[in-house]
Formats: sequence, C-alpha cells, structure tokens
Amino acid sequence: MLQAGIASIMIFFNFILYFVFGSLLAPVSGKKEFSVTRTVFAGFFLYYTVFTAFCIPAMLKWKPLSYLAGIWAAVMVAAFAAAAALAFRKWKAAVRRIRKYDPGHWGFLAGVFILSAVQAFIIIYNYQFTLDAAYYVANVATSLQTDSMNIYDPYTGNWQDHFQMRYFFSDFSINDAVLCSLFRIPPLVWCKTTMAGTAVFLTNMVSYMIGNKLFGGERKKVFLFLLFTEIMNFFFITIYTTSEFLVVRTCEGKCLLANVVLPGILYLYLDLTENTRDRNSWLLLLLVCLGSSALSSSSNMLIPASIGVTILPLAVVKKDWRVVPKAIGCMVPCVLLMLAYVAYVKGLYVIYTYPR
Amino acid sequence: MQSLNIAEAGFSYIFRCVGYYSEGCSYLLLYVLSLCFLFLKADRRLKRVFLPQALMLLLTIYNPVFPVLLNSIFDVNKEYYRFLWITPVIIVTACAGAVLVYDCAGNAVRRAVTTAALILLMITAGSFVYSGGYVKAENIYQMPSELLQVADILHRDSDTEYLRAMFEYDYHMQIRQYDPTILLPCDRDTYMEAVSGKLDPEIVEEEENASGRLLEVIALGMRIDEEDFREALESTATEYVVISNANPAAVFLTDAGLKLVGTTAGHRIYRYDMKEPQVFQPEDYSGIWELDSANGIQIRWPN
Repeated sequence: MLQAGIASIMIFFNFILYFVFGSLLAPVSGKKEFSVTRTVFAGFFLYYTVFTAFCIPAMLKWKPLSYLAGIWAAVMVAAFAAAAALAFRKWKAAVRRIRKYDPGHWGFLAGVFILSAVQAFIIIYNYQFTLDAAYYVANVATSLQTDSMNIYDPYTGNWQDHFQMRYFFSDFSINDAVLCSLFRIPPLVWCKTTMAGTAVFLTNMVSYMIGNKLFGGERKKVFLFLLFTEIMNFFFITIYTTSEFLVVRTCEGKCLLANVVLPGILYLYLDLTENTRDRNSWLLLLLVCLGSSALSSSSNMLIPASIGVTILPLAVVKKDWRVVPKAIGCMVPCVLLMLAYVAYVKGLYVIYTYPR
Repeated sequence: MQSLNIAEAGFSYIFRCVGYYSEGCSYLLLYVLSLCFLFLKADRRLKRVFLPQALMLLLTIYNPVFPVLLNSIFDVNKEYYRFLWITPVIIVTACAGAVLVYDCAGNAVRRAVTTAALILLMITAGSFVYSGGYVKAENIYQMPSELLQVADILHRDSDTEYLRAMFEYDYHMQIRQYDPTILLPCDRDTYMEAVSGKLDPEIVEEEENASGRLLEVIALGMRIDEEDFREALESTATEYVVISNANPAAVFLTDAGLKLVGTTAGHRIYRYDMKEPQVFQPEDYSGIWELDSANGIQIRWPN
C-alpha cells in the first residue's frame, strides 16, 4: 500500500516537474495568458529535450547511470529555482485567477479530474501481459542493476559491444531509470504505476486542451467531449490502435507518442489557426519535435508526417505561405535523427560501448 | 504488422493495412461519418479544423501509392500502421458527438437520449478492451505472484548474484522486468520465432544452435538427445530451467540429469550442475571513466 501511495504521489510530482520546466519558458510566452495546462504541456517536451541533451553525451562516454542521476538531480533543483525566479509573478497571477473561478467551474474541473482518475485506476489496476515491456521495463531494471545506460541487452542481460541505435536517442527508459535511482522506487512500480498514470493524465489533459479550443471553453460541451473520448478509448481496440497503447501498453513511450504528441500537434494546429504568426506556438511545436524523439524512435518518422498532414494545410487555409518554411524547420530534428538511424541500419557507422 | 508485406501487397497494401488496423472495430467508419456530419452541421471554424487534415490524410497516408513509395526508401513494413495514428479518430468522433448533443438535439431530455444513444453506438462499434475479462494485478509489480516466488527460489538456491535460467514463454518475457539479475539464454525475437513455428529442428541441428536446442525442449516440448541438451546448457551457461507443471519436458529434464530444487503451485525449478561454472559479472567500466573524455567516444565510420 505504501509503495502504491508513493507511486501515485509521484504522478503528481511528474506534473509539478513538467510545470516547472514549462515555467522556464515564461519569458518567451509573449502576451499569452499564463495557462497551467499549456505550461505542463510545454514543460513535458522541454523536460525530455533537456534530459536528452545530458543523457546522450553521458552515454557516449559510457558514464554510469548514477553519474547521470547526480547531474539530473542538480538540473531539476536548478530548474525549480530558475522557474521560481522567472515565473513567480505569473504563478501568482494564475493563482489569483484560479481563486476567482465560480463553483460551477470548480465542479467542472473536479469532474474532469475524476474522469481521468477513474480511467487511470482502471488501467493501472489491470494486469496486462505485453511483449514490448520485455524491452522497455527490463531496460530500466537492467540499467539500474548494472549502473549503466543501454550497454546491456535488456532481453537477456548480456553485454553488448555496440549501442542499439533504435533506442539510443529515445532515452525515455533511461529517464525512468534515473528517477527510479533518485527516488529509490522499483522499476516495475515506477513504469507500471507512476508513468502509466502520468500518461493517462497527460492524455486527458491534451484532450481537455483540444476540447477547450474546439468549444471555446463551453464547459458542458468540453465535459461531454472528454467523456466520449474516455469511453471510446476502452473500445477502439485492436492490437494496433492508439487506444490499445493507452489502455494496454500505457508505460511505453509509444503510448505518449500516440496519445499525447500527435493530438498535441493537432492542438497546436488549433492554436495556429487563430494566429499563424504566434511565436509561442511555433516554439512549442519545435519543442514537441525535439522532445518527442526521446519518447520513441517512431517519433522521428511520425512527427514530420503529422506536421506535413496537420500543419502544412494552414498555409492554404490561412493563405499564409510563411507557414511552410517554419513547419519544415520544425521537422528538421526528427528527419536528422531518422537519417542517423537509417545510416546505422545500412551499416555506415556503429557506436561502441567500450574504447577500441 | 508482421504478416503484411508492402512489396508483395503493392497498391492493395493500404487497404489491407487499414483492415488489420480496425479489425472488428468500426471506428474508422465513425470517423468518416463524423467528418460528414461536421461538414454539414458544424460552424465554419470546426470545418476548417478537421476537413483540411482529412483531405491531406487521404492524399498521403491513405494513398495506395504512399506506402509503396516510402518503402522503397525505408523499410516500413512492420510500422506503417503507426502512420494511421495521425488520424484523430477519437477526437473527431467525440467532437461530432458533442456538437450533435448540444447543437442539434434540442431540449434536455432529447440531449440525454442522444447522449445515451451515442454511447451505445460507441460501445457497439468497437471491441471492448476487457471483453476477455478484467484481470486484477496480483501485486504492485503487476506480475504474477508466482513469478516472484520463482525468482526467490532461484536466488536462494544459487551461490552467485547473477544466474541464468531458461523459462517458458510468458515468464521469459516478464522475469527480467522484475529481476534483472536473472539472465536469459535467448532473446525475445528468437523465442517468438520458436513459438510461432519458425524454428527448424534441422537447421538447429546443423548449426548446433544451443539456444535453439533449449527452445526445442522447453518451448516446443520436443525430446532431443540428452547430451545435446546438456551441451546447450553448458554453452549458454544456463544453470536453471523453470517449467510449468503442465509442460511435458519434466520427465526429459530428470532424464537429462537436472535436479528439482524447488516448486511453486504451478511451476517446477530444475538445476543443472555445470561442468565448468561461469560466474557472470557486469563489465568493469571504472577504469574507462578515468580516461580522457575527448578520446572516449568510439564511432566506426565507413572506410
């Protein structure tokens, strides 16, 4: 029970962490009103972008996991301090605004929270046998056990002479291992309770943001929209669908890609339809592209495709061709990582796990 | 989608891919109907949101030429279905539902009836994730409690921190998530190939494939030469074999000289006494961490 309680509290810790990272962007938020959900959304991607920037050099030098964990603890503390310094006024203004919510709005928010909590409980409390967890969760456990990063094969435990590039840039599981190490939480508890819960709440948060945009904040419509999305997520089930990844394969990075990142791009499209020149939205789109590579290597293929399909039509809809170079610019990081992976598959290079 | 091949299916690939993607589930149809509804009934702003994207999806991801073209550049056979994730099936359907209820249904009673009818439609159009029954997790680790007992027995019997064991399919996929000090003699894909009938005993014999021999006995229930089996255990440094009570290999394992060292309600744990015990230790990187970091990165570039 104690572990379950700690794992549940850590879901909220994750949200605070993302909020803190998102608050670091407060100085570049322009004239936009400070939004808690948007800050968490931005922070989630900034968090993984910054983590990747620390993780990859450490992996290239075969540093131990504990080394990265130490650095990451310092980065998190620094982020908390910097966010407080940069965004304290905005936090205060947000608190003042939230205090003024009428009881109806509080009831609506409580309803949204309860919907998400019920869905999270149903998903987390269920036993699921999934094959890919044999890699992802075992990688967290192996990294912790051996105090290393991606050096041992999670399937067997054997030492590998070179890094598997499919997983090299998607360091989602290494982040899990770092947090398990810092908070002394067993990998299975972290992955299958904390991260699964985080994924469910993030998914619903993005749906809430989309619903708010679609219906201009009309509470009843937004609530019904969310109710429908939650029901459908339990029924849109084949082994390939986004809902399958949300309900069954919740602790994988691909769940976040399918249910947070891709709808997130749609949310940014909605934002950009209001103002195609909104710098903050473009910055967020770039952050989505940078941060999502850490979640799954499939991001490198799907994000450019999603931007092409979702954002590029803006140029026609809004008759603003300046959208095109900006959208293509956002695709660049993913395309480069995809090419790096293709080069590895074609045998053009290998990154060894030891000095030669 | 392991069973679909773009090169073989050609332009029909996308239709078959969509078929697999939505097998037994009519949600893609609901998505199309929702788009039509929004086109007819929604305001201009909502039309501008979803219709251009739908058109782009039709011209690209759902275009029969696109997967063929893409596959000529990258191998996307197994993963093309993930492009279908870009289709906002649930968001568009939920949006259309909310518009139908609040903008078209009229008074409160009709709204309630419409909502109930829509929920019924969502339920009947899909396939429920827990249609086979909702199985509660037995513990906080979301692992079978018996697997935890097996790991405990293995460690109590072994003298070393790390040990290598051969399991049946489900435990093989789960044990290292719980206990990474238990090593396995073969990886996930090799095991999956064996249980899906792709392990050829003749090739295993010809190549003296040690993990293949272990799979023949434990996963496929075959009876092979006992000496070959012991050699396979030796060469993969596998000291332990764990099988369920229903596995017919129990007699073979005893005949091959393995000792029963523990049992749980549904499993038996056997130990093989190695002729040349191999103790696994993680590689020592401490010396490498002292190296000049500038010389630390080892990338092999093409000659």
